[in-house]
Amino acid sequence: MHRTLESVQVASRPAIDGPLKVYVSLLALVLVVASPNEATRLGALASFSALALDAAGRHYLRLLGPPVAFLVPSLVVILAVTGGGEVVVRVWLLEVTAEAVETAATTGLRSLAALSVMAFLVLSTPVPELFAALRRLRVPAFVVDLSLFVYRGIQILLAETDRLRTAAAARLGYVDRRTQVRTTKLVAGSLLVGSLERAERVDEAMRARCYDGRMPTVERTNEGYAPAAVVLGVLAATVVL
Amino acid sequence: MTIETTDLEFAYEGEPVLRGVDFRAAGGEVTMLLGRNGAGKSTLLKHLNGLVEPDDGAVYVDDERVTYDDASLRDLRTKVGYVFQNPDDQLVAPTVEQDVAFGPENVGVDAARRTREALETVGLSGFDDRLCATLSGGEKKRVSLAGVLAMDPDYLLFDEPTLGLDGDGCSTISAVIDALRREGITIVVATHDLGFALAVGDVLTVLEDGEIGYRDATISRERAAEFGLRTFAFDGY
Repeated sequence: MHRTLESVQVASRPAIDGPLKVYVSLLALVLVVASPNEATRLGALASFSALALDAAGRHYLRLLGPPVAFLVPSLVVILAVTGGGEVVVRVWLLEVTAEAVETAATTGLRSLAALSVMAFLVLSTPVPELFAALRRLRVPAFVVDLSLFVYRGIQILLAETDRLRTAAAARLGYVDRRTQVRTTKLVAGSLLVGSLERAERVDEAMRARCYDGRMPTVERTNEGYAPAAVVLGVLAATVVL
Repeated sequence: MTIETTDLEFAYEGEPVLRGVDFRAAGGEVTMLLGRNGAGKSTLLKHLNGLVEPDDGAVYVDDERVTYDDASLRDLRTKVGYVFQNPDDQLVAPTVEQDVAFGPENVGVDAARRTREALETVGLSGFDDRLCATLSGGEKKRVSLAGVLAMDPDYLLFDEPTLGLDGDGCSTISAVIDALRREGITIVVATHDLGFALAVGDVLTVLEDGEIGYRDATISRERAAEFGLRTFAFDGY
């Protein structure tokens, strides 16, 4: 999954790019959460869905799937348990009130709008690029470096897992359930040692290229000032009007 | 311009690896470092890049003794590039561009230009946005070389550059080494590939049991066999 998402991020060509994309998304997220008007959330949902679809196509819909699957039952519960106001629908013992519909609609719209903003950011921003933007936002260097380091550590762990699983599969390590359990036990045991050894070698390679504790990040140039201005302008107008 | 060691001693967990090694690579030459598995080739290369500190003896670059404080190590590693044996150990960033730019970013030079030029040199222009994880073995090898070339080193250390490469990959590495030699860069290559060493190297140095056992421009079949080197190069393979 990490590779799949990373491939999508690297291949995406968003209309708003560079650190500007991160700032626009963060600002939009604040507006979605803080605005008293539903129009802001509708505007955000429409504009960021368009941006995400443009940048990553069908991957946007795939990414939305799991959170929406959680959102729908939550909204059903809200509809069922929120009381107050006129009853609009009655199904056997269940009464859905006007207030419940309003709460569910507000919550649903707010969640979808925030999801669309986050999806655009996640689908079009490789992790190092995200941290490069945060570094420019004056997020403390140790937080950024540590996060990048953890990210690198996860990559090493996943690569090592992949290597061990392939090696085990090549010698019938997953041929039946009993073997599968035994292999998983062996792989888990080797994983920590293997990852530590690999991390040591990577650390050596980094020091060989003058790594001094600060992870460098390649910054992309800002692109898409016009769409950024349009999106933020529309959202800001819906807050004020 | 020389890189050399005098009376270099190093032991790993009490087991001597290098025993008084006097190694020398002269400016603009390609020195091939040969020897059996475990002879100490990689350990010697790591000493030349300051990744390992000797137990005794010294490393000299441009007649200056290497010290192991942060500033000196930074100077040393900017001057002496090290291409690792296994590219998977060397690639530290998700994408090709980010990885090649890693070194130049660390030393604060024009990373974008250096990255572009280095990728061009190894024939990987246009690979900037490719994920390192999706590259073939040969491509990874070339990206790891580009990552070192982007630092514009005066000395270049290669650990088994032809390992796992096909004919085209070996030709690319040979061509890059040739081009770098013409630019006056001093190159040290640790290899088991005697055919490659004879074709590309100016000087052959053989490490035997942690000591320099041989140093000359060429080597006979009998001497190569004595040192446990692969002698396919003489047998017409």
